[in-house]
Amino acid sequence: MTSHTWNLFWGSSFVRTPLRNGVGRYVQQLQRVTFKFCKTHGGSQGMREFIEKDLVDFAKVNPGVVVYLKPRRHRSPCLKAEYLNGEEEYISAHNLSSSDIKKWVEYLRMRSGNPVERLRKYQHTDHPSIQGPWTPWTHRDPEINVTEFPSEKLSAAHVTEKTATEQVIELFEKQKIASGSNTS
Amino acid sequence: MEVSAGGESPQKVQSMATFGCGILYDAKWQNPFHTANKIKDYLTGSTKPIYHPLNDCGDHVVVINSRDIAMPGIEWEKRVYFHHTGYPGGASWTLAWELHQKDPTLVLRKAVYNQLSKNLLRRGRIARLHIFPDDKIPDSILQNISGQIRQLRPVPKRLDHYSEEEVKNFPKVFDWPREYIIQ
Amino acid sequence: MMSVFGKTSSLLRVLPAVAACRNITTSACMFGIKSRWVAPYRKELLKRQKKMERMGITHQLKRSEYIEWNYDAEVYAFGKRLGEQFDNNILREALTDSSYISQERVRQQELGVPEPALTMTSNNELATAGSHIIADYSIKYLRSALPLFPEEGIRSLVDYLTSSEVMAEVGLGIGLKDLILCKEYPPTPETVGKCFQAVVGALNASTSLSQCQLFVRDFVVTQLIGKDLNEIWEIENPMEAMQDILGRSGRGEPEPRLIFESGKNTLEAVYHVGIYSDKEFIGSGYGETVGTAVDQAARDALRRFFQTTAASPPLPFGKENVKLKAEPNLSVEDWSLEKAKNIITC
Repeated sequence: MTSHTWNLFWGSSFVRTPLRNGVGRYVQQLQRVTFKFCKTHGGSQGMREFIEKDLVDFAKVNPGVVVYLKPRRHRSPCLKAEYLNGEEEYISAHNLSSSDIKKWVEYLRMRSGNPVERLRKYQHTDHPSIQGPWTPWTHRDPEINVTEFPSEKLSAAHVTEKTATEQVIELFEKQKIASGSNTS
Repeated sequence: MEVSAGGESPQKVQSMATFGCGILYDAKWQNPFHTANKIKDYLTGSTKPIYHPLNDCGDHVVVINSRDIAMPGIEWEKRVYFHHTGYPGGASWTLAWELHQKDPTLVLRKAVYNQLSKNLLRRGRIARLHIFPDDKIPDSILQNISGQIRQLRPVPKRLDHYSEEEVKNFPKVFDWPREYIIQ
Repeated sequence: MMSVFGKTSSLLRVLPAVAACRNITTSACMFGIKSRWVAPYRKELLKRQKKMERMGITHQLKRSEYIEWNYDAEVYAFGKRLGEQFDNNILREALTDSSYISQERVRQQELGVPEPALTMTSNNELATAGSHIIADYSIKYLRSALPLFPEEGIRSLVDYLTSSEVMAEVGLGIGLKDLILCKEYPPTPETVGKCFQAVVGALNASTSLSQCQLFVRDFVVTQLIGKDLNEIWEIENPMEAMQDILGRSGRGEPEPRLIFESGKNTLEAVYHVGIYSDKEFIGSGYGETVGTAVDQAARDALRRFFQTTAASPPLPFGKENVKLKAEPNLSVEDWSLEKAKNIITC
């Protein structure tokens, strides 16, 4: 699949949270979940098992989630989750075992409801830099403002080694000092 | 100073500040190929910490004294620039010294153009390069310059640039022997 | 069964012909890349949707029109989800909009009931009470959290928080869209905002004021996170305001000075202006003209005075305890550096 086709369906987004959730208090974003299943068909066996064994516990632990059961004759089972931001998620539970369904329910419970997309960045901040963004003038010598261009001083290369001429002059100076001290 | 009436968002005007500015470079006695490598970074903006491939933040570079560039070794004689007019038999090979005689800015411009990354931004980036053969810059350009790039190597000083007194006072390492004869 | 088999066999007979007609057998198709049909398919769907909208036959189903809907359970879960103990009757009252009651009355009259005996009450009173609580708490909270911010700014922040857009955003974010009883669907932002205020009023009536204030802090005041406070409250003439402040503080006149400039003959001209008073740096700003840069520098100086720069600490939420402040902050007209020194900031 090309990245273009991927983006047609899934798109991309930044990290975000609905309604600044978790700053003040955490609100579970899953508001209701519907279990649709058949009472007789084999494809719903795992779903029926889940409803018999685990559903009451799930509802007790999550009083903020409204659980609906919708038996439908001879149709494939599915889970439909609705979130506070208005998004819905549908998961086919055909031929799934009860432990699989338990995992899917857990997945639905933990989600924020925002669409699952490629994240362009894995972090978010309201203040990217407390010192302010960099500009070409950050840490720059203000003397440049009054310099007249072209400037010899700003243009000259940094010399790291002494040239042969400079070494000769240095030697000469040293000799002069030595001979001067000898005579006096 | 007048004060503008409408307040603009600080984020917007701050991002203005990261736009490019004019930078000067003196090409006197500099290797054009090493120079091009340095200028390339300024044209693309990769000298800035805010650099990003999608962020068009390159600076304008004004190069002066391009007539005085220095090529290493026998490059002036051996380096060849190829051109083809597109017609049969339209191929031509120009030596570097010939090209430099025709247009003293072309050697440097081609060196920079060759080192820029080969993509759609290349033409726009090379358009930010302004080369002048001598140190005369139009005032309109000079006014926009706000910095200077350091040269890569020191400019050698010729003997006739020293004053007579300096030459006289320069330490003598040795004397020629009396019987030494220059023929 | 026979008919089914008959259909299948006829399909099978057609299949080789279809395969012969298929002339696109590129590797892209064989590996399941479906972009050939994606765009036409989406265009067709959009066309149909627009046609339906033109004909006026699009009907948005209310969630309550579905079979799987239990209002009692929904109302119960609403309180539990927010972690609050609501009184059931008061919460139901808060969720009932006056438009719903009048609609019900008309409906019953049409059905032949001469004097409909409706026991429901609308959320008007609760909404008024709730809006007072929200405004009262958020102004006291913000005064305490931003002690140097002028009273005018605090008031405009509170106006922003209590505006119907923010109220509606919060109301929709806690799931009022399906629960609210009103005439129209989807409910208008005004209705949702009013309903949210009524929910706050209902919480106050069900529990204590302090619990209700925590609720307001967690759901309403947090909406300021990520917002630039100085954009919500914009000073019209920052330079004049700063001159007045410096004058009251006994400081020298503000002096704008150019710090750096670049490309002054070009479209990309940028100026960096700093403002100094008594040779002391107060603030700096950028602009494409000198005038804009001076204006921005004055705004920056005011931000530094009021401690609302990007470097200032964030608003206190969570477990941090905020002492509510009833007395107003300094007004812009009275604000001076001397008075600000006496204010304790945390």
